[in-house]
Amino acid sequence: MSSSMPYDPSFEDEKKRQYSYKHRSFLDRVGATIAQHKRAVLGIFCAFFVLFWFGSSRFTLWSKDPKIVLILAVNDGGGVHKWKGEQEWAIERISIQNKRAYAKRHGYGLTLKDMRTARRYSHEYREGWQKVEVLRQTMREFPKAEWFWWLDLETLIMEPQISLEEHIFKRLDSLSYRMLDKFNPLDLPLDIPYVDYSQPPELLITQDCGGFNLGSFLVKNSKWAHLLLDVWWDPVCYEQKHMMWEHREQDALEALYANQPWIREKTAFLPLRSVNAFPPGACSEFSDDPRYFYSEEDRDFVVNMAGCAFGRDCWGEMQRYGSLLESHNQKWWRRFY
Amino acid sequence: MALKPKLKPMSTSNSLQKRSMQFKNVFVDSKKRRKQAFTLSVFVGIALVLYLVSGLFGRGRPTVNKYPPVHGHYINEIATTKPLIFPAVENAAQLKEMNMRSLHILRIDMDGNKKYVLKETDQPITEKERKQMTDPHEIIKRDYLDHGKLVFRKGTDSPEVVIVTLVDFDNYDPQTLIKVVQNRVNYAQRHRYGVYVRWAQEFIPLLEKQNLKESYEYLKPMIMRAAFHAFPRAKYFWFLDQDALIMRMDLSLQNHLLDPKILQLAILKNVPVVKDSNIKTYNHFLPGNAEIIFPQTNGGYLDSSSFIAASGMYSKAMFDYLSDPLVRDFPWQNFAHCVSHALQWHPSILAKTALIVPKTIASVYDPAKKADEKPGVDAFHYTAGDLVASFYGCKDRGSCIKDIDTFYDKVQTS
Repeated sequence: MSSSMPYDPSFEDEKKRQYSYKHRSFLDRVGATIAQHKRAVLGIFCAFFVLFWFGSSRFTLWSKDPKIVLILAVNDGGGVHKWKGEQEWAIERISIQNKRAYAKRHGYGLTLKDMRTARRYSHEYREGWQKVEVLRQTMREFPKAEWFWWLDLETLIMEPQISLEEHIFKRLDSLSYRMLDKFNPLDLPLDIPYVDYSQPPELLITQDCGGFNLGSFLVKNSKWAHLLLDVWWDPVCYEQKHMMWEHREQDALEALYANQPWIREKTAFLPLRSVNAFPPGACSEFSDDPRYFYSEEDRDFVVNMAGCAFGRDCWGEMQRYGSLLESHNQKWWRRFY
Repeated sequence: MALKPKLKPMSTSNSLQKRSMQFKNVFVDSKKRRKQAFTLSVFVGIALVLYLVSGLFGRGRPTVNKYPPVHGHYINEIATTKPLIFPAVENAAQLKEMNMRSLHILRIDMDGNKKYVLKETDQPITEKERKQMTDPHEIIKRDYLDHGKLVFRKGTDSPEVVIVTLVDFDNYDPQTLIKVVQNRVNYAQRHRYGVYVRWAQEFIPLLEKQNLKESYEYLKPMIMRAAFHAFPRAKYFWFLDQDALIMRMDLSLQNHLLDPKILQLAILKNVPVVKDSNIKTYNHFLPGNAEIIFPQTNGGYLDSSSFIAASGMYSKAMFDYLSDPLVRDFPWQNFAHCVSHALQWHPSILAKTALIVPKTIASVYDPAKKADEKPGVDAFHYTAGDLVASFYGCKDRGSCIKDIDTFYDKVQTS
C-alpha cells in the first residue's frame, strides 16, 4: 500500500483488529507464542529431530506394521567362492528395485537377507540350514506380520499392479491344491494316515519338474510355521541323507511332507506359474510342458530365473524380462515420445 | 437473470399430489396397464422361483476340491460308541499259534527280501458275515484285523482321558493279558475314562525292522497317534506299558497329576534333559504349557514306559517326528534316547514338554525292596499308595508275568 493512497477507513479498521487481542487470528496467536518461548520450541524441535533421525526405526507416527513381508535373499554366495562381477551387481540392483517398488506400492514390508557363504554353514551337516535360520530371524523381526513371501534373488515381479491378496489369498481355495494326485514329479505317497485337509494352509509352495521349489514361497507367521522351522533341520535326518539331498532344505522338506502328517495337512501347492514361472532355460527337458514356463499372453505374475547361474546367462535373462516388464507397465503418456 | 415465480408452500404439496396421481396412472388407471403390470410380476415371480431352485441345487453340488477324510492306517473304519476299545485278549494263544505269517500279507521282492505289508483298503466285515463264518481261526483273524479299524464316535460325548496300552501275544499268555487289560478297564470305568488297547503285532507291517523285540518301543508313538485319531475329542492320552499296573483305583489322573497346581509340584525344572546333557528343561515352565509329560528316571534318563500327551499340534508333531522312518530307523541306543534327541534339538517341542518326578505315574517296582515299605522314603521306587507299579526291568529278570500276577492280586484285594 503506497502512501499516495487516500485515507482508507477499512484499512484502519483492519489494523485495529489486528492489534486488539480478542480479534487476533489463530495463526497470529501461535506465532506470538512461539516468539515468546523460543528456547522451549527449539528444545522440542531438537528432541523430535533426534528421535526421528537417530531413534529406533519403529518410532514413527504414521507407519503401521505390514501384514505381508517380502524376504529377498540377496548376495547369494557373497563372492566367497568366486568373484562377484559387474553383472551380478546389476542383477542384484534390478531385483531389489523391483521388489522395493512392489512392496511400496502395496504397503508390504521388505527385508533383504544376506545369503553369503559363511563359515558357520560350511560343515556338511549345516549347509541346508541357512534359509531356515533366515526365516526364523525374520519372524522375530516382524512379529506382527501375517505372511512372509520368500523370493530368491533371480526373480522379477512382472505384474507389480496386482496385490498378493488379489492374486493369491482371495482365491486360495480355487488356486491351490493340497493333494498330489494330478501333479507329482517326485512320486511322493499320495495319501498318508491322519492328515486333516480341512486345516487352512500355512505354507504355500510350488512344484517344478524336479520336485518342490523354494525359490518363491509363502509361509504364515504361526505357531505351526515356527515348529516347522524348528523341525525342518534335524541332525539325524541330515546326517543320513546329506549325500543324497542335493537341494538341502528343499529335499528335507520333501521328506517331511512325505512322512509327517502334521506337516502335510497345512501345506498347499500353488501352480508354478502363479508365483514362480520359469524361463525356457530351466526345466529345459520339459520344454513342451506349458505348466512350467512364463507366458507373456497370460501375464504371469513372477518369473524366477532358477538355476541361471549354472550354465545359463543370468544377465541376459534378467535383461530380457526386465525390458518385458517395462513394456508391460508403460505409462500412457510414454507413447507420445 | 430470469424471474423465478415464487412458489408457495401450498403449491409444492399440490405438485406432489399431482405426481403421485401420475404414478398411480401408470399402473392402476387403465386396464391395459394393469395387464402389463401383471405380466411383469409373473416374469419376476418365475425368475425368483428359478433363482431359489438353482440355489437349492447349488448347495448340493460338491465343492471343487474334494479331499479324503481323515483316516488312520486303514481307510475303512468302524465307528463304535463304546469308549473301551480293547482286543479279544483271550485269543492270545491262538494268535500266537497262527503267527504273523497267516495274519498278515507277506510280500517277497525280487531280491528275496521278505516284508509284511498292511492292506490299507481292507474292508471290515459286517456282523452278519461274521455269524456266517464257521472256521474259528478265520473269525479270530478277522477280529484281529478289524480291531485296528475301531474308532470312538459318539456325537460330542467323549471321555476326557484315554489309557493307551500295547499288548503282545507272542511273549505273554492270555491269563496275564486279561489281567493287564482288566486293570485298565476297571480304572477307566471308575473314572469314566476311555481305553485304547492294540496288539503290538498289528503295527509290525508298518515298520522297516519287522521284529517285535527290536521295534516294540518304537510302536509307542504310532499307537499314540492312532489313539488321537480314535478319540478325537479326548484331552489326555496316557500311555502305560503292558509291564505296569494301576495300583490305586480311587485316584483320578486329573486330581493326581493333571491339575496345573499339582503338576507344578511334579515338574522338574532346570534339570538336564538326559544325564550330562547341556540342554536343560526350562526354568520358567508353566504347567499350562505342558502338552507332553514324561517321567525322568533316577538315573536322569527319560522313562518311556508311562507318559502322557495332551492331544494338540505339538504332541502330534512329536509323535509324527518319532514315527518318521528316517528318525525311527536311525541306530538309537533305545527309544528313550530317540525321544531325548527330539527334546534336545528342537526347543519348540521342549517348551511344551514337562519332565516330572517318576513317582507320579511310573514308580518302578524293585524286588529287592519290600513293596509295603513306608511311602515318602524313596522318590523313585514303588511303595504302597503309588498310582502305578511299573515292572521296568522285569524282562531282564524274566519275572514280568510273575510280577503282574502278584500285583494284580494286591489291587484286587485292596
